[in-house]
Amino acid sequence: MNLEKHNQRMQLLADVTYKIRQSLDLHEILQTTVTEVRQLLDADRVVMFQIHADGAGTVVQEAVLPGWSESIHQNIVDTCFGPSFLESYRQGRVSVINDIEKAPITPCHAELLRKFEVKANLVIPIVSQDKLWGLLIAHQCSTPREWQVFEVDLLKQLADQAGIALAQAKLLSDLNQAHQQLRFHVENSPLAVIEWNHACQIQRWSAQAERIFGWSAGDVLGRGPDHWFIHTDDLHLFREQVLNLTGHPFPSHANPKGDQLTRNYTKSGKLIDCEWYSSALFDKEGNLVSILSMAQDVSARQQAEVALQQLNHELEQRVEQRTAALQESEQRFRSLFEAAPDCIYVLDTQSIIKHVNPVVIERAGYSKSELVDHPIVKLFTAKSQVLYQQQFTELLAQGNHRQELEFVGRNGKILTVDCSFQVVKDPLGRTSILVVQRDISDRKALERIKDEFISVVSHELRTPLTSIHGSIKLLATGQLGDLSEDGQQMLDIADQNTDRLVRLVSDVLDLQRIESGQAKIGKQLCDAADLMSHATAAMGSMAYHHKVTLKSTPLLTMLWANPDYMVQTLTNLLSNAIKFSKPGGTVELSAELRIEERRLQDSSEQEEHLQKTIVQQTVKHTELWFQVLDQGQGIPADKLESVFERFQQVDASDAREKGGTGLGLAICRKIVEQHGGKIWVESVLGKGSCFFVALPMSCWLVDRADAS
Amino acid sequence: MAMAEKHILIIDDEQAIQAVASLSLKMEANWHVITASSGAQGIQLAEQNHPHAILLDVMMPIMDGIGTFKKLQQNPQTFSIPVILLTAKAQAADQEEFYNLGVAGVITKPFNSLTLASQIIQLLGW
Repeated sequence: MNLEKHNQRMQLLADVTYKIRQSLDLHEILQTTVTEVRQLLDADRVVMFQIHADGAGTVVQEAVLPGWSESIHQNIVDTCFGPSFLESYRQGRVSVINDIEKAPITPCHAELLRKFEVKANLVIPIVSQDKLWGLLIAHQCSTPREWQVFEVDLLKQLADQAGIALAQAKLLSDLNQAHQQLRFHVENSPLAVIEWNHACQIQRWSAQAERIFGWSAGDVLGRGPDHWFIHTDDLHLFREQVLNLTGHPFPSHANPKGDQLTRNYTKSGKLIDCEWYSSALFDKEGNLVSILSMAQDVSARQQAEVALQQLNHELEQRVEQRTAALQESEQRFRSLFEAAPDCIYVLDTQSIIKHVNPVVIERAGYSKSELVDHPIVKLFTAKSQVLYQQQFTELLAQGNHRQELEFVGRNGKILTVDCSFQVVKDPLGRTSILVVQRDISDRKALERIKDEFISVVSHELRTPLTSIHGSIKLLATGQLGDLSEDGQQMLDIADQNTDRLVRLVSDVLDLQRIESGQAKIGKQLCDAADLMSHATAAMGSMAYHHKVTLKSTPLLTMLWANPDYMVQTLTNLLSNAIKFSKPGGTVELSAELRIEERRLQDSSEQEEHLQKTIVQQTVKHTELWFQVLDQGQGIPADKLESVFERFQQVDASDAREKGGTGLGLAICRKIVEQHGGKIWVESVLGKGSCFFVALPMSCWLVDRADAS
Repeated sequence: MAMAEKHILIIDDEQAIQAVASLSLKMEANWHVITASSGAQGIQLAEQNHPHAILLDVMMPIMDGIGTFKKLQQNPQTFSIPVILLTAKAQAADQEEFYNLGVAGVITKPFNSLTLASQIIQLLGW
């Protein structure tokens, strides 16, 4: 009987063990264990209690007879067990309590058991992989129960089996997890992952491989690395790589050369550049199991590299050309800089000298160290320093400027210099100022001598001229006695030519004063109509004598001018027109406002390209034009310019015949230029001429003219 | 225009100018003219004769017209006599400078010998 019972129990244990070990699923193992054990022991409740790292635990599986409370998912954190409680289980202790009311357990432990209606319990540790995984616990709730030895043994063996099954399940789970991770990485890799078997046939083809090459796994599995996939010329590269990895030569490998870059075909026939990374897997015996290759489409990168190389090449060429051009230009500039007869300085924007050419050192006597890194203003007289400073801001704004300054040489000698300033920007955007300084001391000295000479001579001429002129006029009245007819004729000649001489001396003086700048052209607001009236009134008598009709159409507009000089200009023009008109002819003086829209010019060359993008700006430019129209003989085309030069009348005899000085138009031009205007003549031979004087008008004056 | 008899002193180192100006004033207005050839002589004659007006040349040796004018101004016997300068400087700027000194008028050389008296009358408001 005993043997039979023993056999029965062994059979039972084998059956249950089989059921437990049959599964590799943790949940299923636990479920099977508690169910089978409860049935086997005919207990009221059997639970699997998993112990966590912190010592607390959870009921993770339970088999309980109906009517008894469930403990599944209960967390048990009970301080009454203490740390030694788990330690004893770790060492293999089995707890057998037949009647909790009589067992030597702490009151709180007893209380916990009572909570689950436990009358007797049996606790077996489950050790898995040498660690206490948890406890297998059987409860008897209906009555106390005397647990049999064989029952304890049976439970211990089942707990061992459960421990083994749990270890296996965990291993499998870990393996699955690792596998899934690997799979995730392979499928999500930006690289195509291709696995070749020992016969070099594709056995794995990742989703990215399909994306890159176009073939699905179904298309390629079982195929080898051949012309369908790799460019013929690159086959050897791929095979060489594999050979290096495995030592297994491919049948037709040749031309071994280490290169991981090949040209591959996609399903659509397109050729792409791929970079390969491969590794081989061998078994314990050293047999090749598989080759894992990862490929990356680097076509875009290759194309970019090729394009970059080309760009680099072009850039290098351009740099070379540009450098050569720059060198040539620099050389040209240097030659010019070194050989120029004028002093040349390069300044920074603070007026500090940065470079000087040899002429500066030669002429001024300064050493290079006395000049470079010193402010240029120190080279000028105090008066010129002020002038320089005044114009400097304007220079930076306008880009260029020209100025006469007094330069002090090393020996203290003062030179008059004509300085031309030019703001220059180099390609890096650095601003410097180029100064070309020309010594005009000799010219200035000559001009001064000439001015003084003309001034003195003219003054000295005037005194005797006053006597001659005055006495002849008095004589000509006839009040001092009668003259013979010839005598009267001679007196008239003397009278006329004295008049002419007086005018000539006046004109020479006027011209010299205006040219030398001695005459200050003080401007004021004046009315064009007034100026015209004055001029025609002054010429009325002359026109009458020449039997010329003088017409004037005055224009009411204000202008900013010197009224005396403007009347002199108009008078000169009218006088010329009358002189060169035939009797019966007409001379007309008129004026008009000319408004023209001018495109705003930008002097800076650097900003030239910007101009194209901005809206073209226009300004209204207004000029007042005076016109003196005659019906005289006209002026030949080749003389239209030169008539404004001194003593440049159309015909050399004009001066004598017409009593002119040959300076009238030269004076007019000087006066008009001093007003910022221009003077010119248009003429038709035999029909007449028209002299134009154009004076610039400021906008507000124009507005006033409009308003008036 | 009524031309009452006036006494005019002409101070000019040029005899010719003296002669032309004298005759001119006499012929045009029948004025009485006395002449001096230097500034010093002119001041002396002015003190003695107390003329209605003085025509004074600017450019003279030793004491020029400006110096002479200043002396006349400082002299209690002559400071009230109006002085008209005769000058070859025709520029407005020069003339303004003279007027700033306090002269009664400026006549530029060469003057019109037929209208010299008229010019003086106009300048002095006679």
